[in-house]
Amino acid sequence: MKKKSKLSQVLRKPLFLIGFIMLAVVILAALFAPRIALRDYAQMDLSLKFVAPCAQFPLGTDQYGRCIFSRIVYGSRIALKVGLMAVVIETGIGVTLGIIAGYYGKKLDQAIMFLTDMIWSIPPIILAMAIVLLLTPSAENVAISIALVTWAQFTKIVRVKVQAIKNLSYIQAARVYGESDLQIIVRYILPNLTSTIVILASLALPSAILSTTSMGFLSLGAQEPLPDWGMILSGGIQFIERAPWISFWPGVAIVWTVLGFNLAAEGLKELLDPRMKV
Amino acid sequence: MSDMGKYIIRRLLTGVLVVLCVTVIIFGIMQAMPGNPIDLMVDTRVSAEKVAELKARWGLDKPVIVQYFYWLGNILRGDFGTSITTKQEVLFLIKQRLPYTLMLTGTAVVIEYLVAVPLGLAAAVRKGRLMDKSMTVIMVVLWSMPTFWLGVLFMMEFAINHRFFPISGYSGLRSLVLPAMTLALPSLAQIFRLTRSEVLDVMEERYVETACAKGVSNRGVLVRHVLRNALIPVTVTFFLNLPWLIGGSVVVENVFAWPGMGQLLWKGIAKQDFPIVQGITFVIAILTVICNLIGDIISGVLDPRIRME
Repeated sequence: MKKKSKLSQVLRKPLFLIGFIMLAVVILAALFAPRIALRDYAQMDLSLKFVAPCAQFPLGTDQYGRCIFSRIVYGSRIALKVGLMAVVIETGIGVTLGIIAGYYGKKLDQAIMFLTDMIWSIPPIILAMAIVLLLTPSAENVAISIALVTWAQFTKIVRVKVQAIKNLSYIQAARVYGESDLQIIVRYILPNLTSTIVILASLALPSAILSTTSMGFLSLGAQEPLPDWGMILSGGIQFIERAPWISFWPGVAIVWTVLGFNLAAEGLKELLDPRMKV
Repeated sequence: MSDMGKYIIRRLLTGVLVVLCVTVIIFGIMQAMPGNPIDLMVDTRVSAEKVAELKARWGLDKPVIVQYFYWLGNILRGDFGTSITTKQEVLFLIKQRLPYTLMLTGTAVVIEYLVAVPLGLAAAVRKGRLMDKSMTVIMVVLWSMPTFWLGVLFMMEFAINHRFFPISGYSGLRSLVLPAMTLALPSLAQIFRLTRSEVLDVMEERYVETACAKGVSNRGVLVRHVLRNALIPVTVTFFLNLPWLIGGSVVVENVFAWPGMGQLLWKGIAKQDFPIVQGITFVIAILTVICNLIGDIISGVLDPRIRME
């Protein structure tokens, strides 16, 4: 009962509501892309290149006569897929290491903290670029590289949380009863971390999507003819005076999606733990 | 030795250790790359003996560990090898481009703080009022913007529709305006949020209450008690932020064809020019470690509690 009233409270704040609606639009576009798009994302027609936005092509066409609107609609699938994949992997790595560091302490803790310091001493996008170079550019590899450079923020916060709860009396009691470390972590520590993890992951998602599009912009992500938003945008810059719509609309799609996720994540944080500092 | 001296030395040692580990990472990535640099560098017509001689000169015929120290010795002397594509010295290329990247990121970070700190303070003082709420919304929107799109918008508006600034490349200080704004705006939101929340936190402290009760004027409390303490974490982030901006400049430099390191790095990656990639990554890692070190030392100086840890 109490939870429900809290949810309606959050939904009553206009900003969060707007965020959830924006998100719903993106998710629907990704789910029903073949029905919403007007043509196939890769369909070229060289007689129709650089067509300005009109009734037939609502957002115009690019240098190969491909429909920008259809490409953007299909592109939502790439953005969401890569973003989600990155966040799942980084949450997995970050939370595991954070629990180990916080729970066991001592040498293990020092080693893990040193690892996080090291990861942080190369700017994330540059490390991600190097990793993609190693793995060859593709949407999946972008997700992996983003995860490998961002897990440290989860580790730092989870570690401090675990340090604070591991000496609570009921956990010490469990230890006295002879429960193993794994049992204690799974049965008593993880449940205490749920809201922290959910909040961190929901805040990490929009920035993962933003990084995905940056990698796409540097043409390190999904390759042509796949419609990566960042890649469509960078491809349009050379034609910016002739056909500004090529670069303009993918950017709108990115801001729409990232803003939607950011607002929704703020709402979620308000709902679960309004005092948490990230 | 004083606390401060010990603290600085400890940080310095950690910094050196981090740099060493970063070199291991870079070397590891380069080792894992397909093909070896000599095969990529020389023509297929070059004789096998010549290739063997080159490999010996670069130490590539030795075990990996030996190769690492060989390589480490070279890069510590500033010898990053020669570019595979242009045959120029990597160090020369970096020296040529580093000033442009530093100019761009330096200007961006100054813009960021000059705008974000006063706005954050103003929003905190007027918490919950219209100004605070609208600033917060604007900042979330900025935070959600990809820099490259913001760059494209600026380009369309201020270089094509109105020819206020050059569209790309570097031709004097006027060229700096659009890229610096593009780089500064999205990350400005973070500094704004930090300033606002720090000021709000400090305003709840006992010593602020005491100062108010003593009858210090509102302005006096704000400047001498609130701002002085709230700005400690904000100042520290000034240096922690620089590396992020250097990373961000890779993208912005590519939008505006800015002749900095970021563009060189991107071209190096696109053409699989490993010497360039490792040289730039190393230089950026060193810059990052130095910035983190300065940030740590400043926070130690400003807040004695930190160096006692």
